[in-house]
Order: sequence, then structure tokens, then C-alpha cells
Amino acid sequence: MSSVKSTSPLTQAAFLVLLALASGERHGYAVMRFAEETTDGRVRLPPGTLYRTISRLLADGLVEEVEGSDRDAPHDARRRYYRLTEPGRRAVMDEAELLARLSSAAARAGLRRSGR
Amino acid sequence: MSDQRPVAVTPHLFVQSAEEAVGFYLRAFGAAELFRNTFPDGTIGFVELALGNGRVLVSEEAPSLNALAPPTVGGSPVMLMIEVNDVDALAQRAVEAGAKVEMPVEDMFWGERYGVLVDPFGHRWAVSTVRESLTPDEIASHTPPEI
Repeated sequence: MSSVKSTSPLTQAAFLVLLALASGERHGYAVMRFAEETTDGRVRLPPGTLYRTISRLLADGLVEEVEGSDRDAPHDARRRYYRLTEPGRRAVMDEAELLARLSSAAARAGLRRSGR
Repeated sequence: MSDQRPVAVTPHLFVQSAEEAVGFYLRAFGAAELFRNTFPDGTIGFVELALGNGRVLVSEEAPSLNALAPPTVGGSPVMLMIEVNDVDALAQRAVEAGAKVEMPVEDMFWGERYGVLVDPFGHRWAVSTVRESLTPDEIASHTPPEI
């Protein structure tokens, strides 16, 4: 399979899934909660989005399923456990650095609300 | 306004033998299968593929639903374009997977490397680089006077 370039753009949903898994393995429900809590409810990952995003990340080798996942729920990513792969960790780190850079540029441009 | 702003345009391809077609799109273009809907009798309703950040739906031909595959209608009036950095490598890979070359990959006047392939199921694919390095004026000055 062709290798994943760390420069491939991540969708917002993909970035959130990788970010959720950066601190350890989680099941899909926890990823959904993480997205909602981290973004103050501004970004939600409904089951269909979660399932498709994780399918894509699995195919790209950025996440892997943890052994012992609940095989009784073949079409429900919410009950399965996932973790980052090494390329996945690099991809989310690259994206986080890029976002930090953009966020600093936004702050320099006077685009940060006070008190946040 | 934002509720009416489309999020994406997604082609839905009808083919004779969806299973084989999906296998081809995975091998040829590095598509990833995201989702599959199968009827109780085992026939594929649709398969949702991710191709880069785009999506493609693939369904089995079903004349009763007016879902006709290219061989049935005698060709395809649509070209699906894939934008990719290494267009030569992708075209090569597609050909190895069974695509036919309709137009070899070459440098075009609008600044991209570009070629046209036909997949084994009759759908036509343009493959193109994403350099986008020429200005509109440069493209205009390179445009041939007639085809």
C-alpha cells in the first residue's frame, strides 16, 4: 500500500479523532464525547461521520483497532476501541503544529477575543 | 445562506458488478471503502468510497430504478477527475489494475499534467496534477485557437 504522507491534509473530523486518541486508546463513544467537550459542542461527530472517519483512518494506517474490541457490533465504531499508530501520531502532531502557527498568526492580527 | 451552501458534490456510479468495481477502485486509485449497504438477498445497494477528500458511491446496475451502467447506455458522457500530485504514478497504477488509456498523461496548456483513463466498467477518469501555478492570463495566452 502506498505510504501516508504526513503532509496530507486532515479533515477536521479526522484531526479530532486522532487528537482524542493521542492520550491513549478509546472507544468511539469516548471519541464522540471528546470532540463535543473539546469544542464546546461546536463540532459533533454523529455515528455516521465517526464510522466513516475511522474507516478512512484505518485504511490510511493512522489508527488501528485494539485487539479484544466488541466483534458483536460490526457496523458500530462507537463500541470498538482504537489507538494511534506511529504515522497517526506524526500526522496529528504536524497538524497541531500547523494549527498553532495559524492560531498565533490570528492572535497577532488581533483576532483573539479577550478572556479566552 | 450557509444552510444552502453545498458541502460536496459526490458522483454515484452505476456498474455491472459492484463488487469487482469496488475492488478495482481500491487497487487503481487507492480508494478506501467507508460504508456498504447490502440487501437481505446479498446484493449490494451501494458502497461508499473515499477518494482523497472526495466520496464516490458505487451501485449495481438496476434497470428497474433507471440505474444504468455505461455498457448499457453505450458509453459515458461524464468524466470524473482525480487531482493528485504524482499523476504519472497514479495513471500507471490504474493501468496495472486494468484501466485503459484514452489519452496519455502529458503537460497541458493550462499548466497541469493530465490524462484520461477508462476503467473496466466503462467510466472515464481524468487524472490531473494540482499545481495550479499558472495565472488565468497565462492560461488564456496558451489556449489553442481551436480544437
